[in-house]
Amino acid sequence: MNTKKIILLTLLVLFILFPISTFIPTSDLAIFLQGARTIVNGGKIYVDFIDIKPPIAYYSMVPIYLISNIDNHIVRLIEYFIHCLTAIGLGLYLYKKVNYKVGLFSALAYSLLVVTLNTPESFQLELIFNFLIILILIIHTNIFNKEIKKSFGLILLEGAIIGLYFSLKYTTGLILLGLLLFDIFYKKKKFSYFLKYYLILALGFITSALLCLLPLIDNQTFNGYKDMLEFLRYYVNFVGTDIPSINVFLKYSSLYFVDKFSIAFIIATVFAIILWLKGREQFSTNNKQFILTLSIFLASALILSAIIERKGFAYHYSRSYIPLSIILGFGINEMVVYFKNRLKQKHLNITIPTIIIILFLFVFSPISRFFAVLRIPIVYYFNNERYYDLFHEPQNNPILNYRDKKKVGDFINTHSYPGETVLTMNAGSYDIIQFQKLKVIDKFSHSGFYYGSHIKDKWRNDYLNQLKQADWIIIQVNDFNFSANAHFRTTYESLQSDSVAMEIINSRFDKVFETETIYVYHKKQEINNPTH
Amino acid sequence: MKAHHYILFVISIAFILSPVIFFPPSEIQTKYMTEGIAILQGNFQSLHNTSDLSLLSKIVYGGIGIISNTNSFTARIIEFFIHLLTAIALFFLVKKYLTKSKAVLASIIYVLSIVLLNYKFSFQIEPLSNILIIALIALHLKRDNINSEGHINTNYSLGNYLSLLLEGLIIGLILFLKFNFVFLIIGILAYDILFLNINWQKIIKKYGTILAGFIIFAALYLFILKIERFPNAIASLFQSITIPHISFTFIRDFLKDFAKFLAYIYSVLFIIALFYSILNWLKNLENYSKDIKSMRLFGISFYLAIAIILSFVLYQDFQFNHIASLFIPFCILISDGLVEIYHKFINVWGISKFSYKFVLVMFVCFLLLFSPLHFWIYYMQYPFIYLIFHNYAVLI
Repeated sequence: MNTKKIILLTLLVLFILFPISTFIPTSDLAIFLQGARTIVNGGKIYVDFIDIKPPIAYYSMVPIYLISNIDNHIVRLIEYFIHCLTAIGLGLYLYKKVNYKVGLFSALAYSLLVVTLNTPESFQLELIFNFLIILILIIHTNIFNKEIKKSFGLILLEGAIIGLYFSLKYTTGLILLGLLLFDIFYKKKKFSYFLKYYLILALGFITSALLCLLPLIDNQTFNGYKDMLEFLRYYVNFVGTDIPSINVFLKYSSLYFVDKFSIAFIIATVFAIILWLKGREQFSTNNKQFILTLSIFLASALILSAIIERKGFAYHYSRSYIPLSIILGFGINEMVVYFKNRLKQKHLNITIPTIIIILFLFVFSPISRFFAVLRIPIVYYFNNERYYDLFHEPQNNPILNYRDKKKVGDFINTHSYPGETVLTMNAGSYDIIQFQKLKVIDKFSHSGFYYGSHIKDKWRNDYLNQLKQADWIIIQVNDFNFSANAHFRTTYESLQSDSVAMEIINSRFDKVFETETIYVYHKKQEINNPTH
Repeated sequence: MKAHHYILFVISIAFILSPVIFFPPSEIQTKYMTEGIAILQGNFQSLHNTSDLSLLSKIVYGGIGIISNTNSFTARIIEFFIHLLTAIALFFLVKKYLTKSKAVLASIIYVLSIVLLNYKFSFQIEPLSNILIIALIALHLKRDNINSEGHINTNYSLGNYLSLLLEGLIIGLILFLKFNFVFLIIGILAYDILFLNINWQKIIKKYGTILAGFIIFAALYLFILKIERFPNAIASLFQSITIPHISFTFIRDFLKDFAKFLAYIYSVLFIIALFYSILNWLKNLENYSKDIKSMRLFGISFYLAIAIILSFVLYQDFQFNHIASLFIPFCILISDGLVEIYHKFINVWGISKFSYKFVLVMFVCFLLLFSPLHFWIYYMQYPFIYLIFHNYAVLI
């Protein structure tokens, strides 16, 4: 492998992904870190901090919490390095297995897809753990033609990795279906081989999945987990199966594919599929057809898993970014050859439309979106005062009220005593905890647990108790969130119709600060002058 | 095609288009018809100098308003027939230059696109004017007698001049309906210069005749307005327009909105078909003389589409209804793309192993899921809601 080429690939990936290091906090990221903090401080997940993700989601964030102590910039740097390593790893793997161009294009396509997800869709488990898919690809390719005796350990490891991946998000377990179908179609083996292979794989899978559920050994945690699963049932079903709901899902998903994945990448995917069909007679573990075929099966299974979830959020499709980027690597390579051939023609009636099409595809590719994302590090480093303005769009999305979050954080930081506690009440803006420095006593990651349509009595009691314990309360007033609450009331509107909670707040708290989207309450006493 | 085939074809596209009849009335529709009727009845006080509609457009809406007696259901029926007629005209245009199957598909895609525009936008002047774009393409292609080397013949016959004049008249009609359509002229000019490589002398000769047609239309129109004693006729000839310029904020928003249009109306399947057709056309241009007729239709569709997209950017005015001006060129290209993809699919299917067939079926399922089919099924609720509930509130 040529060192200069590797350096070029690395530098390009580092450059493209760089904006991630300056991304703003997001709600899910804050929830992961609060979960990790609960664990590190000796608390129990689903008991002391309740959210809807599997246990491994919070445990896997413990190292990040320990390094960063929820400092957003450090977390984002860690995220940046994870994505860089994934993209570079992908590029080098394909450089070795196929060729440099495919490796380079894949790494660049992956980097562009990740960085243009932008906030609030960045830092999701699917993205962070995408490197597991590369490991699955490498292992599956290596053991494809080997005897079971010689590859027992690797099969077990493959199962364990899939088990871990499944434990992060259960629907991603469909990757197994992709692998199974690929093996059935392309492995020329007897039934007994498949039986042994998949029994070993299942052993690794089950062991790993069970290890990921180890925290549930604790009785309290287990009961909390059961309560959460019951709540999750409503969350999962918030998108119905009726025609209007499916219509909404298909609209979101179509928009994701056309807008975020982009027209240019759709066309590149078509180029890759045509290439794959052309090479259908040349299947062998040593050639590009193998990688391309395996990627098509994995991408299909992972996209299917996102479709099954029926949410249509962009980050749900990011689980398929590794196999899709491989497909894109081949496709972009083919597309470049196609356009080069057209441009070789000296006829005006060919070159002009070709140039127009290239420009069109360039504009409707993640590259143009990347230039918009590139503003983030520029503003962060050279015009920091306007940094929060970049993300402030509450009219488009209630949780993008970053200017207000910053103001509230600054107010609390300058008007509070050490040792005071804060309670946050919102549905989707949990990142407010990263803007202030007090101890967070939240038991719930969002207000849907006590103001949603499917709450538990004990959760409501816990919430009322928390109201009595807090020194500061931060309430969002514009955060209608149907997926969390199963209604369109904001947290503040729900609070206003809750006479018990209002009585506690009115008797114990004063509203001391407000922005357009957030109210801040403090225990009845004089607000201090800035001392800290 | 036999007579019963035509009948079946018309019934099919009428069925696909049927939700249009049951679309709820839109605010714009009522406003335009009221304004138009007032003007036709001589109430010129409602004639504002600055409006988002040109005088001729208002007259068209007024005409529909009078025929329908401002009944929104009857107005929707008139709208339905205009779109149906456009789809049939598109069928004959595509059939002449491509194949019957592509022509049928182009009409189906056109009526699907109209339904997917939905009730707020389907009755706007852009979709209603699409029949004129078909006429423009038909006339422009008809005149160009291309020789076997792909070059335009030098001698114009009387018939050529008459068709150029007619083209000028249609351009006049289009421009007075909406001035933004001026970019269509840039499209056909780009087609003549960049695609057909016509030299400047011939361009001047050709466009001089078109200009004469335009002047005849403008003179006739102004003459009628004069006779009818329209006040401020000149000032209200065109809708209020912005001077074309570049704004990066608009371009950013436009890119998002344009992607949204493509996603909501054409979805993934039709976008693939659109680009498949364009890229295939570019490839086939290397053997230009092979299929001159189809190459020309794709050429003019391509340049018209580019000119229309350019007009969105330069006028800084982009609403969902504006996109309807792209329907004719896009339907031509998408129908070609779909048929070509289908042929490739059949070829590959015949010689592939089961594993490849399995993946192909998977792709087909994915593309059908992300095709406009589901959106159309969604809009098929309208007839039932209208007939059963008599109340569109259930949709909200």
